[in-house]
Amino acid sequence: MAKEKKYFSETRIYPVFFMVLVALFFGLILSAFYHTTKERVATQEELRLKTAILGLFQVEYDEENIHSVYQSHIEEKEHNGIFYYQGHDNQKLLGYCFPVSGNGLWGIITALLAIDGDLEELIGLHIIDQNETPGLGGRITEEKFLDQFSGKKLTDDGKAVSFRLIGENEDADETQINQITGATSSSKAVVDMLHRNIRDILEVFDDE
Amino acid sequence: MNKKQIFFEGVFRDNSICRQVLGICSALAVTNLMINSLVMGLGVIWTLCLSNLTISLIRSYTPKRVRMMVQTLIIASYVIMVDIFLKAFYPEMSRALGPYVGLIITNCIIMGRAEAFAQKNSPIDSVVDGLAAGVGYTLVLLIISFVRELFGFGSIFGISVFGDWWVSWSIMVMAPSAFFVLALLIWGLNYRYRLDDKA
Repeated sequence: MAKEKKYFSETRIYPVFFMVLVALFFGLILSAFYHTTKERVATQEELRLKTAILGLFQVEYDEENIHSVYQSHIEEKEHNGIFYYQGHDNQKLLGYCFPVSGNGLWGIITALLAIDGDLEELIGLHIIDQNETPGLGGRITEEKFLDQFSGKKLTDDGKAVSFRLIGENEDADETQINQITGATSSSKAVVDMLHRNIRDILEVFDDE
Repeated sequence: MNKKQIFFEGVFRDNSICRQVLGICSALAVTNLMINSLVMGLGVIWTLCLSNLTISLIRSYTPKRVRMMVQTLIIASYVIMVDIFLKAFYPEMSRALGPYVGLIITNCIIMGRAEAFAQKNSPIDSVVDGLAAGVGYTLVLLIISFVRELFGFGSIFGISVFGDWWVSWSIMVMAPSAFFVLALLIWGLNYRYRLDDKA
């Protein structure tokens, strides 16, 4: 009896072969796509960070000279394991800027925290990444909320400051922050993140 | 079925969200701003058209037993392209949509169209079907987000409509409101087509 001829597409190995082929094909396309855009993605990220840092130190720049302005004004440093950016303008120390992070309601919040040269006052706060509810917790990125932190003292009675949250439209004093209505958890997450990081920063830098 | 028929059936009568109740997860998640809905819709249209096309093109070579694996792989590849594209060219939008772009992979509409249509029909018809399902999805998202953004923020596409006196409805900003809006929409559409079916 003659053995019936079997097509390759009927063999047991064919599905494996097919799957590997498809995976290889799409894997190649994707990696090509990734590599062609990789630099652009990195540039976007870098630009965003530089914009944020220069903005916090209120250094003037425009789209064209941002990189050279950043070079001449900002120095990246590390002290006792804490990484930070030091800003200066013609020898004058503008302050320090620390990348900080903390747990939000849905995910991790990362931010930049700028402190003046004497480690006494907050210059400002800028949220880099957050996954809070858009329109509610997401409003922690709004200037109205963040501007409140500018000029706040880092210490209160010799201890690291502890901010208290009050209603959105109440009048806030030196240690109070107007929270966002409907987003108590996210407001609290930002304040907690500040408390923890300010304490750490003061601990590491105060002995100088 | 001619192409026009495929298209209109897909967008309206067989609308994936309203008639088949697929893709609900993202319909709830990204519809509090119209711009987010639009970008999400475009991402889904792109993925649906290309995945339908590819799956239809290789349908006669695909072994039946591994076809779902193949489909998922193809869908995932196109979605990752959308994700990388947004990251490179529209980083703000990429951050606003967060993980939802990646989750297009798990959007049942795409797998559904691949299994129900692309697996059995010609490439051109499959693209039309994908386009129809995508446009239908986008339309529903835009309708929901229109209501949610209008009442939740007092704006449309970020442009203030009501002005400062408007007190935003927090519920509209949160996911549960999408349930109400979507339910009302489905109710309306069902009512409309029930009348049609009887006639």
